[in-house]
This record gives sequence, structure tokens and C-alpha cells, in this order.
Amino acid sequence: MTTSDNTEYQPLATAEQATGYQREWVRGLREHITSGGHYALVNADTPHELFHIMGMPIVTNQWWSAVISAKQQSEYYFDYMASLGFHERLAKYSSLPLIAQLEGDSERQPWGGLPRPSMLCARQSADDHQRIFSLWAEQSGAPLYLLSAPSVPDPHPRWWDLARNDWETFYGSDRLDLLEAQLHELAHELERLTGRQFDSEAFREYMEAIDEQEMIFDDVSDLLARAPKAPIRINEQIPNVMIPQWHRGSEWAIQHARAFRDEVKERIDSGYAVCPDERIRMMWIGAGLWFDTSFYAAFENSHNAVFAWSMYLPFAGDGYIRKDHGNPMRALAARVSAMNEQLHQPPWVNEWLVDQARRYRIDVALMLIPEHDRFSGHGSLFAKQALEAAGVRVIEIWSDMVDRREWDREAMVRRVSDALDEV
Amino acid sequence: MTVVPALQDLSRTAATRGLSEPQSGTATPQFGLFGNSLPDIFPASAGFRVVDVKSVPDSEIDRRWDPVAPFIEPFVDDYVRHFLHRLGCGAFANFRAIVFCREDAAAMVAYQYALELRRQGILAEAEPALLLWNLEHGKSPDVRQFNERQLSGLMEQMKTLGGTGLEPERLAEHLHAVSSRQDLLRDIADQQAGDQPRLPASACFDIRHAMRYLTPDAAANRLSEVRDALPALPVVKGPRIALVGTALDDRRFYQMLDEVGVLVADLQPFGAVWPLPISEHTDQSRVDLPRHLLQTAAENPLSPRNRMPGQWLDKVAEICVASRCDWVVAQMDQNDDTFGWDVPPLKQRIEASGIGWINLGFRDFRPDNAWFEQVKAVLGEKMGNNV
Repeated sequence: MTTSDNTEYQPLATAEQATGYQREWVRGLREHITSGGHYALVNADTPHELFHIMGMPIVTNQWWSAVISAKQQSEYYFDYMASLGFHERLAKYSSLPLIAQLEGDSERQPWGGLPRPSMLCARQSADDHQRIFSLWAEQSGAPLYLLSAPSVPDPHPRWWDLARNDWETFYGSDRLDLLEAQLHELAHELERLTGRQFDSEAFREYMEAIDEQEMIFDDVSDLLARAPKAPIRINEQIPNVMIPQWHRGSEWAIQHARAFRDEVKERIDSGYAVCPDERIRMMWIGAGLWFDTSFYAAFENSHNAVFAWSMYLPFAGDGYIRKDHGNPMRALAARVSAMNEQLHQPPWVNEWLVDQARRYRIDVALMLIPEHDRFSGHGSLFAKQALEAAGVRVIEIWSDMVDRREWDREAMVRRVSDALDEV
Repeated sequence: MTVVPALQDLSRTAATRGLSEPQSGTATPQFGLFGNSLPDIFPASAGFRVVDVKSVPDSEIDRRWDPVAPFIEPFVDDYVRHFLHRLGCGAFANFRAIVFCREDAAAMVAYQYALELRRQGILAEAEPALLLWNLEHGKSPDVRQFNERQLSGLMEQMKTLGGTGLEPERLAEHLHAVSSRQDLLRDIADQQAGDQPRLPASACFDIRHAMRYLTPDAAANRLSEVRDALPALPVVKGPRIALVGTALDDRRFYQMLDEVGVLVADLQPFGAVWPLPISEHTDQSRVDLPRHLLQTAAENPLSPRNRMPGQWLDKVAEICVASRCDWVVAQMDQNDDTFGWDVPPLKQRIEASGIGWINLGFRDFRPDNAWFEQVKAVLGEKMGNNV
């Protein structure tokens, strides 16, 4: 795809490296799983760190959902979901993998389907996620480990100011005591499943390595926010963040984060821009539009409008960096205890998005509002109001992240274009 | 036809959501409850009159507070929507506090949105106090410790609001009334699930809803009269029905059920799942009462956030079987995103027990008469009686 001055966009070397690494890793994971190796099926907002440190491979529910969606199978499975008696207004993104399992035709699924996991793990952040995982546990016979998710009673609006360092105050000692205890319990369970012993010192070092990685991403976010023009597309930004995040704290992930940072800096220093005549800076709010990521580049030629922001990169710093204060398990509890909630509940979501929009000098926000995934959709209008009050024009996109059945790209491009015409 | 004054009282209380009740002589401060997971004995023993704020009286259905409208997504739970409008209109101005139960998904959203509206100055009033009740479910020592801290914190907050805090003696005094209420509700429910049910569905609704607006003492008095009057009431005949699904507080639904059968179990969130069970054999001299009450709440198999996979489904199926119902009728609000996951496995368990299953699907918050007529016809046809 060409940039707005009709030259070919230069893909990032690091994006290709990240996807290449992920491809190899996935191959290895697939071999491990399909030959009967232990693995855990976990939700995105669970402590992956414990699984990593204990050497238990994981398949993340939402990642697997995106894989199934990318294989163009989601429509089939949603029809099947209805045939089972699950109504059409239930969340799709987090349930697509379950439905594929219930359908059971391994030939249809990526990798020939997932074998029975050794464990399932989810947080009780949303009531439907608990049910999805309970159904999976019943279907597979795998044990389900559910982590508590009590809410924060007095949410400090600028959560990112406190979360990195003063998380004890922010998240509350009661909540952290409970979750820390549950994480220790989960670690014991993983010891039993893997036959390995939890190494506290190794864990401490690992958590430090994660913080190091996230601070690099923090630097990258800062670079991008201050760059005169967006030097990279978000559909290259996303794999460069998310893939290392799946491997966070590993040597590869830290090296890759550095390489990504260096490549971004080089681009900025050279004056490279996605849109040399950049006129409109946009932010994509919400999970990725996994079935149509080329949409992000749809307005470059027509309007010199570039997506400069998606949540994954800036959330790496704010959502993950947690000084351990001598207790890395408690720091992990702090990271996990409101991980999803920070992105979806007022006042957190609205305050953070406005802060980000200001940092990135955003003109227009496209806000993905999944109507049938209420946990992800609640707070959207608070965010919209706050962004508009801050001078950002907001375009609502009522669509699901993986269900393309009602996605009309042409109509959406037209709609956004009309709005951009007025900027 | 036998008239039971207590049933008439309860009907009035339910219809007005407690506004028909005379206040106590010293104007007991009101404590709103949104959700089911806080044992009401705690605020009651602290000196508050506990009143449900989730259910919407018909007189308040159309209340609108324009400033909140731009913040409410179309998929927001209707109870949240109505609550926020009512809050903005001052419906709870004379409440000392409202506590939102984390266990109730709608309560969580109502709490967060109300807090944010207040923080932004859109909801200008500083009262009532908005409090969160984070009861966790499970048996582990960590859960127990967490819950005890939540209770301790909540009772301290009640002290700042004019209550007395957690006092074991006051708790013990209230235990008698709460136990009586529970015993009487159980007696009435057992009668209803027995061979000769004598209460129409609409009376079952009145009883359950009125409980949410009466002190345990007042509730026990009326229930005692109802129980004693039951033998004189005619037996209600027809297909035996259990009701499941999302929270339903529309009496017309129950009146519709009266035309097709007899309600023997009501297991939706405004039904028999509240008040929370307390142990029948609570010996105050041998147990730490607050801890015991909390633990019973934390292990409630009918909690929607019960952490044992399948336990809620098993318990609902068990009650349906024990009630010897002929049909389980399921219904959902338009924005359901949770009960729908329970539908296929619950249907499977129910049908495997030889009980019929009817899923009415989505319904509006307050359906129109045409919907009720249509549903009545569907139920009548499926249940084999022409209405």
C-alpha cells in the first residue's frame, strides 16, 4: 500500500522479525501441544508471568480467538453457537475459542484444534468470562483456576500516576492480600503440574526483566508521541508490542523491544513519515479490528490522516510497570488486579484516553464499541464525552473485534471519510 | 374468596417499593441496597432501615434526568439506567447511603457511573454516600479474611453515617427477627412447592418484593399471618412452573403466569434467592456470628459469581426437581450477556430430569400488553392448556 505521496510504505524490519519469531514460536508450541505436552488455556488478564516462570506454555484465549478469526472461521462458529442455543448477543471475542472446541471438528480449526489443556485460568473480571471458562472446564475436564476480581472502591482517576510505584495505595491492601495469596496458590498448582519448583529469586529477576522491557516500550511511546509526524503504522506497532508482550521478560522480548525502539528512533531522526503531508492524527480506541487491519491505512491517501495511536504500546508502560518494593509476587498481583478494568471503566478509561490524546496530539478518535461485549463497552460514552471536551472529534464504531458479519468496510470508510472532510 | 390482610399489605408494599410503609417514630435512616450479596442483618443491626434500590416502582419508570443521558450506552442494563435517572432526580435524597454489591453486574456499573457523575460534578449532591460491597465467594482462609475486612470497613463507614457499627449484641438481637423471616419464608415456599400450593404467582411476587422494603420484624409479622392463613386459601391448580433468568420485577409477568399455571419456584435474582440464607442452627454462644453470616453468604450456591463451576446450575436444577415443577420458564432482558451462557446447560439438566423447558427469549424491561398476550398463548400451547 502506498503512502499519501504515492511512495511505497516502508514496513518496519522489526515488525517482520516479530511476526517471524512468533511464527517459529507458534510452530514449536503447536508441536509441543499436539504431541501431548502440558499447556494452559488462559484469559488475557491473568498472570501469564507465573506460567512462563514455571515453564508451562500458554495459549491465550483472546489470541486464539484472533487466530480463528484470521482463518475466516468466525462466521461459521457463530452460526454454530446459535445452533447450540447460545443467543446472538453474547460476547464473541472471548467465546470464539470455546465454541470452536464445542463444535469439535478438528479439521476446521487452526492447528487441527487444541487438545485438552492441563489447566484453565481466568479472572472473575466479567461474569460471562467465568461462565465461558466454566463451560470449557466442563467440556474438557480440565481444572479451572478462577482468580478473584473485587472492585476498587475509590478509583483514583489518574491511575497511571500511582500504578507504577504506589500501587499499594491505588489498588488497596485488602485486594492485594487476596490476590497475592491466590497467586501463590496458583504457583503451587503449577508446581504440581510441571514437577518444577517455584524459584523466588528467578521470579524476582524475571519481574525485573519485564519492567525493563516495559520501560523500553514506554520510551517508544514517548518517541512516537513527540515525533512531528507518525513514522509507523499502528498495524506494525501492534505486533511489535503484542508479540514481545506474550513473551515478556524473555531475552528475545527485551532485545526486540530495543530493536523496535531503535528503528522507530531512526525513522524519526530521518524524518520519515507515514504521511509526509500529515494533516490529521487519529487514535484507534479498543481492541484491534482483527479481521480487517488494513482499515487502519484507509485514510492516508484520501485525507493525509494517519492512525498515530493504539492502546497496546502506551499500556505497556502504564499497565505493566510495577516497582516490586521487595515483593515481586505482590507486584504481579498489582499488575493483574485491575488490568482489564483500567481500560474499560470510568474514571480510568476516560482520564487515560484524554491524557494519551493530548500526548499524541490527536485530532480524531475512532472508538470501537462492541455492543455485545459489555465489559469492553461500558464507559465508552464517558470516554467519548471526555475526549470531545478535550477537543478530539470522536467517531463511534459499533462493531465486534472478531465478528465481521455486520462489518461493511466501504460504508465505514465512507462514514469516517465524511467526518474527516470536516476536520 | 378469602382475603388475607397481610397479603394485601405486602402487595401494597411491593407495589410502592416500600413507600406505603409508615416510617418508625424516630425516622430510621434509610440504607439502600443494590444487589443481593450483603446480608441485610448488618445494616439493620447498625440502625438502618434497609431498602432495595434496584427494583423500579411503576410510578418512577418514566423519571428522566437529562444530564445522565449522554453517558448511558444503549446496552447498559435497564436497572442501571433507571437507577441513574432516579438518582439524578433525587429519588434517594433521603437515604443515608446506598451500597452496591459487586456480585451484581448491574450494581457494579451503577456504582461506577454514579461515582463518576459525582466526580465530574454532574451529580452535584454529595449524598447519599455511595459504598461498595466486595463480598468474595469461596471457602479459603484468604477469602474469609478479605470478606471480614470488607465487613469491618463497611460497618465503620456506617458509623460515620449515623449507624452504630458492628456490635455483636445488636447483631444477636436482630438474628431472631432475621431467622424468623427466613423460617417463615421457607415454610411458605415449602407449602407452595408441596402438593397443595395456595398462592397465586402474583402473591409470590408480592411477598418476595415486600421483603426488600420491610424490617425483618415487620416482615416476620406479616409472613406469620400469611402462613397461618394458607390452609384456608383455595389450592391453585395448573401446570407447576419454576421461573429462571435475568432480574425481573414486573408484577404483570406474574399475573400472566397466574393465567397459565402455578408458580412453585422463583429463581431469578428478585425471587427466592434473597434474603440470603443463614444457617438454621446458628448457636450464638458457639459461633462468631459475623464470620458465620459472611461465610454463609460467601458459599451461597445460588450466587451468580459462585466460583465452583456447575454448582449454580446444579443447585437450580435441584430446586426445580424438589419443587416437582412441570415446566421451567426462562426469560432474559434485551441486554443479557450472562444468563445466556447458562441456558443450554441448564436446559439439558432440566430436561434430563423430565421437566419441560420453555425459553421465552428476550423481553423488554416493561413489555407491552401485546407481548404478554403472545407469551401467554405460547405458554398455554406448550403446557397443553388453552388460555
